[in-house]
Amino acid sequence: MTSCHGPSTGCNPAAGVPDGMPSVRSPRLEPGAGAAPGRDAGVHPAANAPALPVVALVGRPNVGKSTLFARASRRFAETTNAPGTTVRAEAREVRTRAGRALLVDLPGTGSLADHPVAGPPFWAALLAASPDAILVVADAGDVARHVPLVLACRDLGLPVVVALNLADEAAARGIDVDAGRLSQLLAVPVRRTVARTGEGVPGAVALAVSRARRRRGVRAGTHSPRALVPASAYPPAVELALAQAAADLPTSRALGAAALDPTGLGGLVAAGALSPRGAATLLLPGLVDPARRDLAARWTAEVEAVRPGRRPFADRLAAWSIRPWPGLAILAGVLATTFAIVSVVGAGLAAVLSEAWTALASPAIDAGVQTIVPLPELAAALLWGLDSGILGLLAIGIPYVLLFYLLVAALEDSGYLTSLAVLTDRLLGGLGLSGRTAIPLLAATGCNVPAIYGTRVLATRRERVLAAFLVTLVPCSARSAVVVAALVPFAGPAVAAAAFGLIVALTLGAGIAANTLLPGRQSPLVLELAPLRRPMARQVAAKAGARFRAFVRIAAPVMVVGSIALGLVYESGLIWPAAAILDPVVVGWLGLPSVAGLAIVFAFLRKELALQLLMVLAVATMGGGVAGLGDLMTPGQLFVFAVVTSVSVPCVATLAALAGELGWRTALTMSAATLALAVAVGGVLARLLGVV
Amino acid sequence: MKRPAFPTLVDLAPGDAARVLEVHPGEEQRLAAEGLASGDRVVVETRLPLGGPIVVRVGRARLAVARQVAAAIRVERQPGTR
Repeated sequence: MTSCHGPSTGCNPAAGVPDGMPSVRSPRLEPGAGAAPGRDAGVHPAANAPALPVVALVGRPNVGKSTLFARASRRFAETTNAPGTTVRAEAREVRTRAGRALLVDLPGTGSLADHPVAGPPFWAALLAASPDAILVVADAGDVARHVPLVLACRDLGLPVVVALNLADEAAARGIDVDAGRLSQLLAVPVRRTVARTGEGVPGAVALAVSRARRRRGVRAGTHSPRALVPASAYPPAVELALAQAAADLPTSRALGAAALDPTGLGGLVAAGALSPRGAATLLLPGLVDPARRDLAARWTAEVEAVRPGRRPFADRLAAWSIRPWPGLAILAGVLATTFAIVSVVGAGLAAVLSEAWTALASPAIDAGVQTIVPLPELAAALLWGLDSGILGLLAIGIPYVLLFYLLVAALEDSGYLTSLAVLTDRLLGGLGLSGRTAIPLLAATGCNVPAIYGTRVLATRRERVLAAFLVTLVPCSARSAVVVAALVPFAGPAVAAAAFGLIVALTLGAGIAANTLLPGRQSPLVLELAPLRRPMARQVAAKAGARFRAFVRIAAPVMVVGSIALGLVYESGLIWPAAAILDPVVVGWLGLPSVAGLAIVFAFLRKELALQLLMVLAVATMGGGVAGLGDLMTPGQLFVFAVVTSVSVPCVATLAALAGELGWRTALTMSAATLALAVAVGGVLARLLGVV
Repeated sequence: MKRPAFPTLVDLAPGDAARVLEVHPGEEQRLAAEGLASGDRVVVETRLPLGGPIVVRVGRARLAVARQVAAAIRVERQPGTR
């Protein structure tokens, strides 16, 4: 962690924050954030501050901040999901009737002192965005819980506007808040909003923008200042301690100021990013927080009126969803519906898309490549990638992955995933994980790659490693397709179900083993439950769309390039010596035909390709007499083949995601573990089933 | 094992109301961030079976806490649920 290194302390607020901050992705902010140490020496921060006034959005998790952000900027993209998953700050330009401004969406937070995952405190992320005003999003249905954060923002000495959001849900619960009186007590403007419909949002944002512009004007000397900070309502003892801490702030401009100012707050105050009293409140959260909570409780009693009445259906459903009964039945229903939709609709879509590709695109691509590329072997290898590689993406990516993303996004938006976390916490506790892991594990059945990114929400590295290991063992849609296609036609659906049961048992067993082997303890669950809401179609579509684009960006190049590489190995004939090397394990230990080993190895590039490849290789070795997999392998061999393909080493895209998130060593260790497990279990199965 | 002088959240049954007296320093920050601190009134909504988490209402929010976290929250029983 560093603060300013510059020889003199013309420290700009963006440079004065610790490393590893969520960075604000905006070209306008970069000149400040990226300035070389010393280059900005002596320059007033206003000089290299962003050109537009900046309004930061602050609020507790799940209060609808990101929805409000989307409404204000008129664009729905990756927005809120399960609480606490807006990991990065995002900035967008907004146009309001008060002018243009940069609106910065920050992760949800309980207080300014929170450490979002394991990093710098929230206030550092907030001040890194150099806000000129803060728009605090609060829940109209739970003012007592949200007012302390409003007070904390106000204490910073920056202009604050409150959006009293979720006003519709509060009304449905019979809760009425006197916004005018609350505004008087807080001495900041309070506007009622319903971010989901956009009601009140433009007004609240415009007000925050006008406050931000005025602060800019005051700092530039074109506006005269107005009293912003009201007389404090905190007890005198608290005020005295704050005044003392503010006076003690390091203000030295000499060399070594960074050592005297480990929090960087002295520099931020000197740069005008916040008031000395604001810095003092950040230094003494234990002192100020109880005072804020007391005030919040007192003021809430004054402004809130509750009409007695029946609880809304959504709230009763939320209460049922976490009880063993009917919660587990609801869970079973949700899972069954999800898988039914994915398998029935997905299979239909896959068939339509594959046929369309084969009928329309394939012939043209084949002809084109064969005309341009003179070498027939090279042309054939290219077609492995450009034709069958893209076909694989169409047959798996769009129908299964996109559909799954849509369903998961709808579940997230509904708030149900937090209920799922509560219900599965005990089960996952046996694997060293908290209920939060249920969310990425569910996503893994669609595709492992996004599930591995989803483990980012977990608290510790240990938990992330354990969760990612389980994710790699969960059969994704491609691996499920291999199990189904290999077993259902030749051995029956019951055998396929048995294979899935075995894979789940192996996953649980490996999870228990990993939990025992890995040092450390699990971090127990503490989770605020989201209220249940009807998912918003636009938000669900935008969220699923954004994730799907990210999936295609990763998977498409891997599928195409990987398939071309495979094609080259096959077309050049190098594949046969490779088969001979594998024979002792494949033929001797697993009892499978020689070509099956190649299919398992090359499935590393594309899991769903294992069967397709097996057919191609089988026809190539045994001639045209092989009509189906049933001619090549017995049902017992197919069972061994399906289990080994599913359990062994994740595909290349998953491996890349693992390495990117957890490092190559961990990624390769996990792959080795799954390979060892697959080979060991495959050999035992071969003997039990009488294959060898 | 010695019985603690005050019950913890683990000792409460669904429907019980209590006031939080003290949170073990190890869990204090995490719980405060989720909005649970000493002085708060809590109502137990559900206890998941087999040692699963406990769901409490704090004001209007609902919070799920694992048993081991609940054991770090000392409470004083209060009459009534609403």
